[in-house]
Amino acid sequence: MTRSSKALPTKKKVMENGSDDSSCSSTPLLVNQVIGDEGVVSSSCKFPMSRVRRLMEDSDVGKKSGIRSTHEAVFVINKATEMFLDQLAKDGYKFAKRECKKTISYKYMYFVPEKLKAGDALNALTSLEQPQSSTSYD
Amino acid sequence: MGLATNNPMVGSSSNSNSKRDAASNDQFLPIANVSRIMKRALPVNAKISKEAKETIQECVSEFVSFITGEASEKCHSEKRKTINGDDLLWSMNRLDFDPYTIPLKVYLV
Repeated sequence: MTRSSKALPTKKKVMENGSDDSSCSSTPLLVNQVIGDEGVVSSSCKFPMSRVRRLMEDSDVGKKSGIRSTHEAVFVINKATEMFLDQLAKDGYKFAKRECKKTISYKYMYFVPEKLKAGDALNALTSLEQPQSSTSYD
Repeated sequence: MGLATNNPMVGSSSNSNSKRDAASNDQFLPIANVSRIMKRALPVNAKISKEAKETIQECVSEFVSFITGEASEKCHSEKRKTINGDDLLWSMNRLDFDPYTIPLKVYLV
C-alpha cells in the first residue's frame, strides 16, 4: 500500500474498535467520536490549520531548532487535539455531575494538568486545598 | 513576575485568566473552536464557565506544544528538519496518549 504524505486524507471506512472498556480513557469512545455514525472517518478539521502550525513551529523547542512540519503532521495534531479536548470536556462534566452541578467550573478541571506536567498537577492539588490562595510562578 | 491565580496550567504567563488580551489569545487555539467542541461533547443542558473554557484553551494549546516538542527532539536527534505524522504518533505513544494513535493511524494508511 503506498502512502501519499502530501494528499489530504479522504473519508475512509473503518472497523469498530473492539478493545476492552476497562480503561478510563475509553479507546472505543475516541474511535466512535472520530468516526461518527456511518463508520466513516471525517477529514474535516476543527481548528484552523494555520494556527495549529504556528503553535507547533513557535514552541520553545521549535524556535531553537527551526523545525518544520508536514501538512499531514499538522492534520494529525489537529485531530489529536480535538480528541483530547473532547475527552477533557467529558471528564470535567463527570466531576461536575458528581456534585450535582450543571456547570463545569474551574474547580472541576483540577485533574487537567495530571496528563501534562506532574509538577503542575501537584501544584494544582495543593492550591485547591488552600482556598483563595494565589500562587506565584517564576 | 506577577501573581497568577491558582491556575496550574499557567507556567510562565503572569496574566490571570480574566484579564486575557487579544495578543495573548493568539498563542492559543481559538476559544470559539474550543467552546464548540466542548459543547458538542456534553449533554445539551450542560454549561461551561468562562474560566473553565479559558483553562481548557490553554491546556489544549499546551497539548500541541507538548506532543510537538517530543516529536521535534526525535527529529533533531535523527538529523531531520521536518516532523511528519509518524513522528507525532511515536510521540503520543511515548507520552501515554496511546489510545489516540489508534484512530489517527487511519489517516496515515
